[in-house]
Amino acid sequence: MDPRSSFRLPGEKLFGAKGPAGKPPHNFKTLRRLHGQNLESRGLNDLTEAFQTFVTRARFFSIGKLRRTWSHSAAEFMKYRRLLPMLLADGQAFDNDETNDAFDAVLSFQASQKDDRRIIVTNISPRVTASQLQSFFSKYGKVVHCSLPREEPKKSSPFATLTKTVKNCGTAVITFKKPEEAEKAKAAPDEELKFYDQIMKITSYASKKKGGKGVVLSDDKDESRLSRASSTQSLSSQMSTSGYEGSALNVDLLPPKILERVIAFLPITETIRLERLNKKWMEASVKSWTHINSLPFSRETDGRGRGFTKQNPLLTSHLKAILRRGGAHLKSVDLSGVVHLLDDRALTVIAEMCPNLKSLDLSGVSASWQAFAELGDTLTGLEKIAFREMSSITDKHIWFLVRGSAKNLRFVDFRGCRRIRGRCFRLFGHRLEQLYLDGCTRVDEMAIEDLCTNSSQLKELRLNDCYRITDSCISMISRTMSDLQAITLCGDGFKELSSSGLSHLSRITGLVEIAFDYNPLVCDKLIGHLVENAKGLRCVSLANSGSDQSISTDGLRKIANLRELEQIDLSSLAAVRSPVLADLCSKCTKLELIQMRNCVYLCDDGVVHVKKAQKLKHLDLSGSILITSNSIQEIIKAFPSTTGFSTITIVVGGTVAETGELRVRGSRVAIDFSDYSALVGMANSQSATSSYSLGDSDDDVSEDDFDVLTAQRSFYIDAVCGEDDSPVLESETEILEWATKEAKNLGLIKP
Amino acid sequence: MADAKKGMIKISSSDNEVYSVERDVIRLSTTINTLLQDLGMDGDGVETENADPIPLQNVNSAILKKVIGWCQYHKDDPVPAEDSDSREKRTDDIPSWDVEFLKVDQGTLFELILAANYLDIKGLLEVTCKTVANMIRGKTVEDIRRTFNIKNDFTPEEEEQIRKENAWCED
Repeated sequence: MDPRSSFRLPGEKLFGAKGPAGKPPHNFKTLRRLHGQNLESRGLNDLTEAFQTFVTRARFFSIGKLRRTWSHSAAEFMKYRRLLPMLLADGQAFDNDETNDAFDAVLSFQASQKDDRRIIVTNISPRVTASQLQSFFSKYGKVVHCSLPREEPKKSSPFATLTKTVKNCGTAVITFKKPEEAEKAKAAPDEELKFYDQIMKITSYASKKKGGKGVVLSDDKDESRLSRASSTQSLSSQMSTSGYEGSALNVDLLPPKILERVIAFLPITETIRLERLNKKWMEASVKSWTHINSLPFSRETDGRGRGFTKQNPLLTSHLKAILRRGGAHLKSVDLSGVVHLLDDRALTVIAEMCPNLKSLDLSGVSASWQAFAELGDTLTGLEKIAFREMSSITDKHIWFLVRGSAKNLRFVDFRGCRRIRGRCFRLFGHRLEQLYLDGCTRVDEMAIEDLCTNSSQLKELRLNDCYRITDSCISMISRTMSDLQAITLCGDGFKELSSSGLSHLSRITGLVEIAFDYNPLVCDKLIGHLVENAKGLRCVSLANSGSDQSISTDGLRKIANLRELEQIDLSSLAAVRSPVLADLCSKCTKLELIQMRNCVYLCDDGVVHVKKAQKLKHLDLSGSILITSNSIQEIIKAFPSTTGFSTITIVVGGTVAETGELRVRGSRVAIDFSDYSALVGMANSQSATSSYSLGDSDDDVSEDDFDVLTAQRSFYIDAVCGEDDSPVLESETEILEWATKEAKNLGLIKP
Repeated sequence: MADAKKGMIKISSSDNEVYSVERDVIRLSTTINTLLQDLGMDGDGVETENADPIPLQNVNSAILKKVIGWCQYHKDDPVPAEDSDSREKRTDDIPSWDVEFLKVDQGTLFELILAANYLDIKGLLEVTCKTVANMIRGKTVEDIRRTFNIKNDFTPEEEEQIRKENAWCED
């Protein structure tokens, strides 16, 4: 079959599908299948470039992982073109020589008998990503599928790119092509399974349907033990069968004090359940609460699907039972992230039972202002308050919540409380050190004025997305808050700010951290001012900021004058060229984290200088398309494995560097083939300026399902199998619209 | 040689075996640390070479050897912050070395706990307690009774009463 003629036909049909002729979703499916066959027959280079972008984009946008950034569309296009062949190289599931085998494997993957080929891997270091794991296990055979669920990241501002490290949950399911390979992996000795200083444990997979007792990836209550906890759970169960059973020593030998300590490590529900064991344990269980002064409720569900889930939410009566036992000792309660049905009465319970509370996280708890008033008046000793993502909360609620404790508060986190204007800020006293207001779009000049008058000792002020901030606010902040160490003004909607207004910030000489991600006001002049005056800066984040005109390579090179610099994020800046990285690495000796995602003009001759950064821990070059294996290999060589130094992670997804070409033996460098550059783009989809309809619908979907690379791989699998997964777009009209738009953009049809 | 011996501390187990350990290693035991400071044996130039070994009546030689082994491995660990009571209820963060180290029978494990408690070695006490917690975790009450040989001294009525009260914690 001549691939050219066969796949171009339906393609054109789709592009021209303006009338009733042809059903777009079907066309699209055919298109994908044909494209898959084309990949399989290595006809990649025969594809017209436009067609390639079209299909790649189709998949990308359908999963909402990428936001269209037309400003860099040429660079983006180049990136996708490089990514496609990389799919074949990475993971080795689809080696060119054995494409047919892989094809069969994928087909049989759909069939039954999966379990023999699957293994469960536990005790995985939280830093490992799915693609790393996949290449790690490919030494035992071909890995067909690798699923490594990630932990729900703590809710943070969409613009906080530097803190965006998503951990995995420590348990993965890996499917090999053949059962023998799975057996081989299961038989592997411990030393071979060491990854990031943690020895992974392998158990066989048992499907729940068959009534096996294995670890099953599901949310169900009974059998599932998927979690970080499961890693040790499996360990402990192994241990108990091997060693402990024989010498059943009486646990009563342990002094009560120690028993209390042991019980203090158990989840809440188990602690309470132990009261039924016998009198000694009941006493120990009750007393164990004295060891606990911090209750992060979200941790409780972290375990084995028990705890407080959707089926079994935290009720006010539960909270009461828990706090009755331990409330008096508690200094910190964190209700964020837990499934609950709490209401006014819950706040009353907290107020009654926890008189010594110092830190309270009420994110997600809605109640009336009367209840807040009661709580606020009782808890006068509070030092930390967090109340995130509460879009229904108004100034009135907060006013009553902090009324009693405002003067003592040190840390306040109101991120995402869109409706507050900041009238309550005048209550805060001079003890306030950290104030997070990311996403509080209505916070206005008057609120900042109040802060400057009453809380001039602030050390950390996060104002991402606070779009009502004006130049005079910044000027006031820089005049009054001389102790300020961290200020962030990320976001692209600051209408009342100007570059020269931001320059006032350089008056604060003690600054340690600045972040202006996505802020278009950043320019060479501002960078120059800041670098000159705030010499102590340790963390600088300018990802996606400024514009190609306002930030120049020379401007960025000035950053290298910051001798204290530890973390830098210059992602998606066109001005990042080799001299910038070279300067940074040779002058800033304390550099630990370098993030240069999507820096499309950065080349090898700059990257090789990274070897000078002796303190380096993390280097992210994903999506910087000009970087090849040569420079990465040189860095790897420059960091031989020596004890006492931590591992260095280099992220190279989306670059030209390939798995097969990198040798990390004898080095403390670990290579991560994930491409996080798409995440940088995605963050912006939450901003108000996002106009693209597809992106919006995906905002609620968190990043849990898969990272971009697996998405691409699954695309390939889908394409090859012609598997009918979820439709790419919901309705026919939608896909038609989209395809027409896309075709117009690519110049295939006349607008 | 003299330099190498500097700062060696002698300790003896309950069965009178004498061990010589570096000052830096035994620093992890708050009990011995305070003892040395109180005795004025902490400063430089203090002759510890010929001093009598510190008797540890509650620890036998087999356990003491293990404890010293643990301290040796962890001697460079950062000193835990004083507000260690803010620890969270998580038991899945035991380092892999410790997991291997604690693959011993239940008797030894309990003796290690007792020794760590007596010598006040915070890190060791914490990992051993976590290990025991992991053994309890996820088990039903009946399972725990069986595993640890625990006698139920509640009357059936009492137990039923408690069970009812805490019904929401049961599976």
